Amino acid sequence: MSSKWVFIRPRFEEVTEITFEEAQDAIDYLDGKGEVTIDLAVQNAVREKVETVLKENPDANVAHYDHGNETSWIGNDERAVVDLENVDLLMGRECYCDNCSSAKTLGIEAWKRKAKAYWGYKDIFYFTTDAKEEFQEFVNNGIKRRVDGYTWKDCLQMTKELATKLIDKLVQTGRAMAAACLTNDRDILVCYTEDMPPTSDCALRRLSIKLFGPKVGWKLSKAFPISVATFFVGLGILLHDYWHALWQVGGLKELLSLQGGYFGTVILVIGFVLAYYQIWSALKKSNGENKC
Amino acid sequence: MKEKEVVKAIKKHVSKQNDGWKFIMGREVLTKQTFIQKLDKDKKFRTTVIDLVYNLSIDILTRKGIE
Repeated sequence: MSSKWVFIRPRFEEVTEITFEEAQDAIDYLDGKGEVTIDLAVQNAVREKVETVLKENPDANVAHYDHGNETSWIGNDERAVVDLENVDLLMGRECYCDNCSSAKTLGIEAWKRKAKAYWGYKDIFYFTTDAKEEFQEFVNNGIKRRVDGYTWKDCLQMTKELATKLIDKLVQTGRAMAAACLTNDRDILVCYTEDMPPTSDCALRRLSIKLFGPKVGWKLSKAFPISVATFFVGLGILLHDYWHALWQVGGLKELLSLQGGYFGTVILVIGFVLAYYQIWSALKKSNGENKC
Repeated sequence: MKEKEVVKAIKKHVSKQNDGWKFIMGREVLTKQTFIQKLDKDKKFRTTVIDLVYNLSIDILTRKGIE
């Protein structure tokens, strides 16, 4: 399985010196495996250049080694190279991140826009300099196993298992703080694919995913439960007043007789269900962008 | 174990590291000295570090880290 990988690796301060070297280790491995790598390093790791190269290489996967936050990957000039504005660039690609927190929001948006895979961390990445080798082995294990031919699911499992072994090694060699950091990093590492959809901390989001599946559940906005609740509360008030009026006119007999209003209500509910079915079908096909 | 004792143990562990030891938390880089200072002064940071240590302990005790 030969593939093309675009590496984005800025270097502008102490931490990025380390992530830059980690990226070099990954590039060397991929080159050794005969993969095609496009190296957007240092001054080339800026938004305009990244956008151009990704547009010119629609078949390429992409790796980012640097700082990140919930909604963006940071470039060499400390501006975002990829964020929610240009996340469409990740569509159809495998994305590999060695950055903080981007899996939390950007990763989910990329997954919703049909990125084939999004590997990243959903919170802040911690490490200590007494275990640089071990952290490098951990952060690069996923991409290395991927080019070895494993599925992303296997890569994730193997990387978490590797992290556990490294944690034991760090504890045994007296580097407990490094072990504590790596425990955190292992636990915040995620990979989103079609088979491994993102999960949510939001109760409403979890409910919508459970009810409608991840494809639709992740695309529904907060307005969805509000609109459904509003409709049925309004309908309830209407029916209450209608029944009250019928009761006043003819009591129970009038209530139980076939009324035009009952047909109207049934038609209204059918119309509502049909309308929502259309929305649900459209959401299933589209690349929606709502979030909780 | 009380929080104070955990913090004391963390400080002791960090102070034994070599002078080049650094703790990196996203964009923030802390040396041995700045780490210990921050541990004393910054409650949020102290909680974060204690959580890291607790999570490691729980992980070793339960080995449920792998999802």
